[in-house]
Amino acid sequence: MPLATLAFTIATIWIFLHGSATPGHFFVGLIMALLIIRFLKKSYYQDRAFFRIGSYFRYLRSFTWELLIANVQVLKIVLSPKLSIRPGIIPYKTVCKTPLGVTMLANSITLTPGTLSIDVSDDDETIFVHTLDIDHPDEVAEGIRKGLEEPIVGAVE
Amino acid sequence: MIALAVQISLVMMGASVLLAFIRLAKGPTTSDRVVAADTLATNVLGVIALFAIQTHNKLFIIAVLALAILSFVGTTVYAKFLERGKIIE
Amino acid sequence: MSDALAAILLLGGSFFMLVASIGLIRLPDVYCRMHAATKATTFGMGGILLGASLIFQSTTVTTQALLAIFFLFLTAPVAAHLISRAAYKRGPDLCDDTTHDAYGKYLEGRKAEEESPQRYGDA
Repeated sequence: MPLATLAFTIATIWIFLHGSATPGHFFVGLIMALLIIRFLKKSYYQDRAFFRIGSYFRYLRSFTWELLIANVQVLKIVLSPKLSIRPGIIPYKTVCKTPLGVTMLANSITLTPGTLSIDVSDDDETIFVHTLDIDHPDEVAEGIRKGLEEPIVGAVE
Repeated sequence: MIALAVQISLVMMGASVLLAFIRLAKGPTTSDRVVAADTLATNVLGVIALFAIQTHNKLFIIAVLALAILSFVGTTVYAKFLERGKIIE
Repeated sequence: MSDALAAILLLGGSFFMLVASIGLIRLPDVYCRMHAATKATTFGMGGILLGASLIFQSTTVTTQALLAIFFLFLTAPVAAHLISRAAYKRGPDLCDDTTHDAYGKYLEGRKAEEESPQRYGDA
């Protein structure tokens, strides 16, 4: 989002953190925001696609669903009397191009069922995914593609 | 009812801290110990949040926020140390 | 009503933290342990903090709790990523049941590429 919108967002968060909505506090929040932006401008990633709010909510919905499944699965594996896991590391070819997309995808992979991203190759094309229970590597990749990559591509690319 | 739930939760968190500590002491590799320490830090965050509810003190929630940031920095430094053996290049 | 919901959130959250620690003890190698430690602790902390914000019923606490949850969800995967990569480079130590290892092949390939003299030939 543009820097001005960012400054106003930070000031609003400051108001909520403080708990009292007076113009004075908003002004203090605005000064804080300007200071933050002044020092962190270089590492701020400008992105036009941030305004696609609808796709963001679609991504959040599918991410929350995957998160719930992931935790139930961890629960099942950990509390079952006999451990039956076949772990392994598989490569996953991503179609995300932007750094933001790859970062979001790698982070989401870690928090969703049975997968954990270990590293991204130098050309940002392959994510190495550690999987808890491999039946077929293709099925795992297909799950990531359907559940995570498509919403992320819709949201930020 | 809340008081009882907080009591039971604190007991579970205690058991959880104990188990993480066993892994921290036993862990065959250094990486295991780092993972255990990370889990231990998150467990402590949970204990602080539950303690805030038990004592009706809002200030502890800020402590959760601050400690979450600190524990992330700590874990990152450990990971850097594991990877290269020196922290500042 | 909101009290009951808060109690359920607190109990569920701490239960998932306990599951994470049991997983830390039971699973065979670092990477599998990290699965339990990353997913279940973040989820558990989310439950506990949402429960706390339901109990306190104040804007300040809710904002702080939401910020803390956002921050945990942002940092937990990054920390897991850093630790697992460092662990692999220090010595893979994959457990005996492991079936695939694509990352090892990739690292070998990259090492061979770095050592080949061709790369410095036309500099």
